Amino acid sequence: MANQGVIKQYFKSEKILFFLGNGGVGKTTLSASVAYLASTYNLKTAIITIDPSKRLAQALGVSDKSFSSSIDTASGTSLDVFLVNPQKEFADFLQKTDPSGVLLKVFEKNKLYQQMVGRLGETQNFSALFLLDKVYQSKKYDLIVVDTPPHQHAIDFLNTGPNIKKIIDSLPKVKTSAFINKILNVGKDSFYNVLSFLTGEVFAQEMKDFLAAFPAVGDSLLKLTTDLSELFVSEQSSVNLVTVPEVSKVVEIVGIANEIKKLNIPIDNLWINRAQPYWLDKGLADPQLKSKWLEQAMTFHKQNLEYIGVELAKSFPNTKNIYLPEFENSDGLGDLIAISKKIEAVY
Amino acid sequence: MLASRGKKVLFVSLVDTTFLGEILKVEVGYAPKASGLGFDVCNWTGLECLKEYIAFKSRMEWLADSFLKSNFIRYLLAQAPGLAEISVLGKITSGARAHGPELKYDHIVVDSFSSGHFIAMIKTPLALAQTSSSGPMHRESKDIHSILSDKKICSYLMISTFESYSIQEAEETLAGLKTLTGLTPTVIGNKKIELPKNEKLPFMETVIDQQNLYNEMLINKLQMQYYMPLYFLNARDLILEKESQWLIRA
Repeated sequence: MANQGVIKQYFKSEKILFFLGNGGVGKTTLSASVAYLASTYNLKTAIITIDPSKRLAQALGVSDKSFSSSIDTASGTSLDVFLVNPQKEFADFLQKTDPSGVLLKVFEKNKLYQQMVGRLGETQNFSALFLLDKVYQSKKYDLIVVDTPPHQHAIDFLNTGPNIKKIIDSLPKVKTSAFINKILNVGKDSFYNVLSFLTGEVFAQEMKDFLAAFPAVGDSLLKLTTDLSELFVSEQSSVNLVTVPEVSKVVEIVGIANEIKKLNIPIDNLWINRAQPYWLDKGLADPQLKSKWLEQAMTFHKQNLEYIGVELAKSFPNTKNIYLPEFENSDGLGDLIAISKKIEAVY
Repeated sequence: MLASRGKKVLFVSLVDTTFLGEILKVEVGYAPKASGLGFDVCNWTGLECLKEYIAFKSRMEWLADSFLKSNFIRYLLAQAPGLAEISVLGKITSGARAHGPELKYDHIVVDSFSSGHFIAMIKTPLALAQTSSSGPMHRESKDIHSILSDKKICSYLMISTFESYSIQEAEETLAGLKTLTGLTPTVIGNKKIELPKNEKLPFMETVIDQQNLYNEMLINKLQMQYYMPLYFLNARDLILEKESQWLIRA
């Protein structure tokens, strides 16, 4: 393992690694393999998925009902796995803000809150931020790997903090603790009238009650999102983009990278996953074999890789590009071990 | 395929349209534009859909403009749970509900989010309907849910590759969709390797055996009805043409 030092050094220089990319490019398997590899170096590692699909649980063979679990690695270390539980994350945040529990009770009565932590909770960026903050603040981990949902939803997650700040900045200057009160005042003339007209008085009242309860959490929410946003743009965080050698995915990853650049979050690595189909290697291993189909397949992949090489050199001149071949199987923990070994070798 | 049969089709993307715009040589935005392939194309976001809805309801475009012009309102809406999703679903179902600006199309084809966020979006009308017991939000959310659950109006196509993760995710999505709407999606397997009949390729035997296993899983667990072959094609328009021809034959 000649390259062990390189990737280990990278892990040691970071605190949070975000894996971003489009759907179907193998983000979850790759991020789980990277987290697994980091934990085998005896780095205390956590992996968090903020994707509502349950692929991380499947990849690591843990129950998606338990929200946090720990798996043992072949090296005798362990990897902690976290899934977002919106109900718990919101409750913990409110409890931390107001240890008396009164605030939590106020929110729990509100129907909008009930739906936010219930049916709509899976896509709530706040609960994912609360979880990430909790794991980070626990100071238990050398490295936190974050598996994000596809494309725009990942950008929205990373943008939550700046958005909260923009909401506040767009209001007349007020004390932060009073900013939601200001929202209510601004709303008297426009927001609530329009909301009531559009949605009905019952819904508008629920929204009003919901926002009315917010001044008590305004300071904590602002502090948490501001602290995390600062962490995201610091040298402790790093974005790993993931794509596959398909023209459409490469065009899209360039778009994602441009969005990330606007957020000033450093992009360190670009993973070209499944750079070569595993069966192509098998075919090429037999020099006697003459096949038009194989030639066609080879030409196609060669052209794709050439195109990608040119595009990536143009768009990512300072980013490390890592070509990872396709694996025959990528089902479950046993295969993650094999993938993590390959990552170690090619990084 | 639908357009080639003489139907008036609108292709709506809810996701990144960079590649779509590039292959069609069209700047894809909120307003439908001709794709050059016989159908119109657009990209709908929550904010734009909401803006149009406010203008339609109030019959005052300036109200929508001034409401959504404020940075405060825009960022608040971006964080409000379910609002972007219900706005997009409201727009998609507006023709079927006869509520909103007219959409003169026979079919609306929606390229939606991937599995987890797609199910979260489909849940939104029910969740918001339960937030209030009466009023427009309650009524319209229920109507949207009814349309999404009506097999005469909506059909869902789910794409899976011949890989275990993809099949597991498709199973979850199918179960979620069935629970929420009572409808079963049509499953299409994508990128199936088809070997030429006149060549012997022993190295592909295990690959095809594995693919056959996944093929059976797709048929037995997900009732896969169609599949698309893997094409070794780089010419982007050729892929669209080939795939639509394949679907017509299938």
